[in-house]
Amino acid sequence: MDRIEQLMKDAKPRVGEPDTTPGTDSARSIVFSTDPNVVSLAGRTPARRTALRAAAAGLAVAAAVAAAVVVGGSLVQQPAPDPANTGTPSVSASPTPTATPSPTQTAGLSTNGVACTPANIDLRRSTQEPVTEAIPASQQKYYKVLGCAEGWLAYELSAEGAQVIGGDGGDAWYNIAKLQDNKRFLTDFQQPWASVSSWKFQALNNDVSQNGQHLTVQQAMDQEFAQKGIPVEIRPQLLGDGPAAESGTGSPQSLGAYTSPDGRVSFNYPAAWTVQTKESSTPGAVNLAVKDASGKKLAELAFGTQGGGLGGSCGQYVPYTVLDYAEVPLPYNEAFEGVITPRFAYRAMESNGKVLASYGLTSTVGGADGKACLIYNVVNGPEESPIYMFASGLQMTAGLSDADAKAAGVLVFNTMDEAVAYRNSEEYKQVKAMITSLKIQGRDYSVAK
Amino acid sequence: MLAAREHEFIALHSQHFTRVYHYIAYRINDRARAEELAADVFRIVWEKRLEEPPGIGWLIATARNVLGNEYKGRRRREQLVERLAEEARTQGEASDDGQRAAVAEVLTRLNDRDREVLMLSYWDELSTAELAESLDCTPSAAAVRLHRARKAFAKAAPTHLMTERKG
Repeated sequence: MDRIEQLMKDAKPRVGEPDTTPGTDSARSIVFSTDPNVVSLAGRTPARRTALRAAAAGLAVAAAVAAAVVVGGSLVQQPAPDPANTGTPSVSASPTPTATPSPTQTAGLSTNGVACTPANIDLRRSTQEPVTEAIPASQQKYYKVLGCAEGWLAYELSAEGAQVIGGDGGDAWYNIAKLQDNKRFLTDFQQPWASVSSWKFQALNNDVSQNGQHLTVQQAMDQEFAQKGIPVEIRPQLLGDGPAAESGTGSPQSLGAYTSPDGRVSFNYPAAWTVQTKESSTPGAVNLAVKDASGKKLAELAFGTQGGGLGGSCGQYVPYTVLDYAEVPLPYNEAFEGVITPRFAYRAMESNGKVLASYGLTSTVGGADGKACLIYNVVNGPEESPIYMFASGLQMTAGLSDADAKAAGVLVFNTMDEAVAYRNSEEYKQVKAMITSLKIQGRDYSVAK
Repeated sequence: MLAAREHEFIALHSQHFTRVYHYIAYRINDRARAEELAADVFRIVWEKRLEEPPGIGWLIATARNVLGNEYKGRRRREQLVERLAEEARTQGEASDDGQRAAVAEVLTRLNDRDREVLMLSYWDELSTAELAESLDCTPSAAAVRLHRARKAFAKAAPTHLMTERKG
């Protein structure tokens, strides 16, 4: 058990067993709470109180149902079962990069004449009077040597091991041990080199949408090696090559590509998603929706439509926040008043105690002084398409009802934290990668009038 | 004669009621209220008519919301501070040289999110999968949150607390 875990567990409040006996009677009192002859809560609560409590519970359930509708009304898929009263979107179950390192054959591996096995590893815990102890024989099965070279050895503790031994984050770190004069490997937990983040965590820590870093997992791992004084050149021998380079930047692993019939508009999307094109009365116009594997619409694209200025009125200015953005090299109309370079933006408005959010390409700011009433997810484009969009929805207005929000492709969250959490989801990363992959070829005179 | 749904519910209640009650009782200073709120969580389960019996992560998420309805915003934090202060007082500082109080102090300085993740992991003893269910995120995101919360704890804690050996 490490220090933080120990401190936390020592500080855990002492709480005895509940007076309510779990199971039969108390559970039945809930099952039959509408029956006036049943005294609930193990007979401690007077009947009138029961009625009140039941009413309160009813309210809580109503709140839960309302929240479920909110979630259902957003673009976000509902997890089942959904915790009452939480509007947190489900994170799509798309595969995270497989993070299992595939180093060279570990059986029979040795470095400087010492076999690289868990039996030869000593641990020195981070306490005031550290004791160096070998990994007990009974626990060696939970440790897996990943690689070794030049007196360094990398190994991991399985998730099961982390549970049995009482450590934590078994899948978060790889441990590193260094060969000592006594011909034993030592992991000294007081040294920075004792552990490095696992491949999976390198991918998460270097999440572009979170901190703007554009490191591959390999670069991130090498950086951590260097910072911790572990020779970078032996990283492949210790931990292998890591997951495929592209997965470190959040790119979908398997991509489909869409190109419009005239070749002007193209983008990439995860292979499991589908593109549904719609007929358009304007020749050469592109109108389509992208849906995930479950059929949930994630984005709409419209390009090449001539008419139809943007409308919409609003009276209420509310605070808005740009939660993420990335510039995308796309054509736009520089002459348009107030135009900014086209960019992908994920923006949220705080309205009526909820947080409305939408993402997509835009060339206008949401509003001045951090307040907005109408946010457009459109780019003021070149002549052949004065406006175009690739977004969750065309526009977002303060005060949208949940049903209107759903129809407009606006996500509804209960709190800003939830909106931020969605930004870290795999679904969001894939959607962002797709929208920012949009390419628009130069003007095609055969199509323009 | 009870229908299958009732049997299932009673089994769920037997299995998880104590843990849900503990979750609440760790965070507020009123045992009787904690029990009533735990009962509310199970009422919600019963009335929601879920397709599948919920896991502990779901129940804890619901308990968090029930607590949140009861103690809004700052009130919720004050409850915890009171709870921790009470605990430090009754469990005797003599035995741990104020370590418990020091940890309580660190916890109250963390943001809600970090504090909750640490408490869920080490007090409620949720596994990473259960943690993920309770926070409605993927297991890897839950592990990252725990990792971040641990970093925040280490940063907020005075050095002696992090290095002192207990006992």
